Amino acid sequence: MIVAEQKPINMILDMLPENKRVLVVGCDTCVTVCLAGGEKEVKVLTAALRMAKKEFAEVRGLSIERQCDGEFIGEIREQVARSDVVLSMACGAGVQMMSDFYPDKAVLPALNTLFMGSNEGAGYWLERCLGCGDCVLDLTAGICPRTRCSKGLMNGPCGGSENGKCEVDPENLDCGWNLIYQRLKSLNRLDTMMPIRPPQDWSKSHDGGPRRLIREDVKL
Amino acid sequence: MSDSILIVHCAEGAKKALARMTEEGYKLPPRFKTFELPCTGSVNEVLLMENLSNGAKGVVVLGCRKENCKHLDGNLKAERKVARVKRLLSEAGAEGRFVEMVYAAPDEGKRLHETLLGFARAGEAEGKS
Amino acid sequence: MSELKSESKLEKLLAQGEFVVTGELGPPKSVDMSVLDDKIGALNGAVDAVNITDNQTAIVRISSIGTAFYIMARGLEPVVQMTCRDRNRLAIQADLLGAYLNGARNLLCLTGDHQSFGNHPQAKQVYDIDSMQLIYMVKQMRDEKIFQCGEEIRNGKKAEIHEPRFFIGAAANPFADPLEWRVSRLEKKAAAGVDFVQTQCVYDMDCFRHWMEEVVARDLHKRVKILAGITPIRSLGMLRYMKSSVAGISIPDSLIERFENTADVKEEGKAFALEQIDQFRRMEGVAGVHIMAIEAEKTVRGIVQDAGLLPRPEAA
Repeated sequence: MIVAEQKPINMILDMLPENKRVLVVGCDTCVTVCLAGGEKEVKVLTAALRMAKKEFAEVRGLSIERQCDGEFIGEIREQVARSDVVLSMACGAGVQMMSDFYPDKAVLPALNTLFMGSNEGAGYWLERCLGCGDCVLDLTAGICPRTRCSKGLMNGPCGGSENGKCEVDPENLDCGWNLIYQRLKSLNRLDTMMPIRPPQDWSKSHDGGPRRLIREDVKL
Repeated sequence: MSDSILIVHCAEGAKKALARMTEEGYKLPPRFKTFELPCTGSVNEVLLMENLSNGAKGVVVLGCRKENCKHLDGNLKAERKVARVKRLLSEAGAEGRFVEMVYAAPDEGKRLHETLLGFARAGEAEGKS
Repeated sequence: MSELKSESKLEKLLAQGEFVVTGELGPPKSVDMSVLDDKIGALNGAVDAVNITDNQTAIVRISSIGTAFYIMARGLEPVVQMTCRDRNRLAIQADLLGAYLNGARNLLCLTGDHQSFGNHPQAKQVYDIDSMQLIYMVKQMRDEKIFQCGEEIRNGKKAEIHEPRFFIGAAANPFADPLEWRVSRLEKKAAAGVDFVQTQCVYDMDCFRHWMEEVVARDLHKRVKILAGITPIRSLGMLRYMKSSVAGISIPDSLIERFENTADVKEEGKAFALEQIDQFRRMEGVAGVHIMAIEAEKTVRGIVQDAGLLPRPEAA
């Protein structure tokens, strides 16, 4: 899922124009699961804005199923029409789609979108996937060398791996390549570590330009 | 904003403490309202923030003594939520409002009374400055 | 045709069977190159070639290539260092063409310290390729005469091929984890095409010896020239700092004790360095020593002299 966190409230307040009608819009999917922009968070932020130092004409809040899907964004047309500013608590994709649907309103991001990751336990989310477009997880025992290695090496580990930790944060950060090595070892597949992995084709990632996925067979 | 102060308390130690306080003759002025939960562990930020934005001057979360939560560590969890809301109020510049966590011992009626009235007075002082 | 790949002095000396000595220099943090003059003077004649670090610890300094030209003009042979952190494959190849054109022949291929260690932690990291892929790329440029994309290194279809021919080096760390993998990693670098390696500075001689034995058992020393790294100890604080805070350096407790109980740490440091050099010379598979005495370059000549390694030999 997409993991995001709220911007500090003083930054949100800086973005919002005074004395306007604000509509806070949450999203019931990814940002609900990472406790950043779901129904509960909408209520808390709405309450905070009502009590804030900065005055607004009106602050209302609601949440929709997904902000990355026009079907749900269209449902709140009337609510948006009655507002001056939309404060979106969705990930970057949702904010942008809202802005496309309501181009005459200022649509502002309440969150900083962080990464594609997994929930590892209560209150802990970990970056797992960069969306590089060229998945190599079959070669690395299901552990991504791009995200789990601080340098994104394909032929790691580097010389900064000690006691299974990465030198970038030796207390908290596992060395991704050590994880790969240990798992390959337990799977009796250390032979996979010997061939020299060639340079990545970055044209498949964002470096190649903004990406689109089109399925001709599904188009109407 | 009214001058009401909401006491969100648990059904265990905090309830006993409030009862004890009343028995001993320490009354709270009518601006204090109470709201009971099975355990303060189920307090969430929505409850705190909505009560405040709907007009309460302050919310006091009253739980069992630190080591005595009947549901293990509900009161400690509540404290973390209270801390988060405190930060939010401060960063948003929400003047005159407060949220506090109090651990109540069932046998300290007088102390609890003083603590609660103390919050009310501090709130007033803030309001005047 | 000569068997030499780059004809650098370092390569020639190694081919002649000499026990080589390399040093290290950190470029200045401003455009005042004269601050290097003393260091160049200190190292000239004391070592066969000098590593020029490249934005080491991710702190911006004059580039390794830029500095290399300065020291070459003053008679010292550089080992240009190239990290993967700051440049993509286009910039690396372009820089290599330029470096070769201006006389550089030795190249150390490194991953590069993470930018969070340095003075520009907000910079975007590159790591388009890693050190293993870099070694292979430089070897392909030299031996197959092609760029990483597969195109021949020539100015046009009818032009002659003029490829850069580097003596390819890399770092090796016998002490980083996973320990059991470290010889295999060297083997992988050998397969990628590395000609020589310089190890991380050695303090744990037993651990190093053990690594060398495995290296020799796999015949790797015949494919790759191995230079053992040393950093002479100059203070107890430095030793303790390295033990507690620097990843990939192994310092035995017995060594700490030795230095805690000595009257003159610097003298003891030199004595230990001399012991190490002596042992390296006797160790099968060790082709030389790499002395990293950053900010203590003046001490290098004394060490090399007392180790009986002066004067440095001429390349045939």
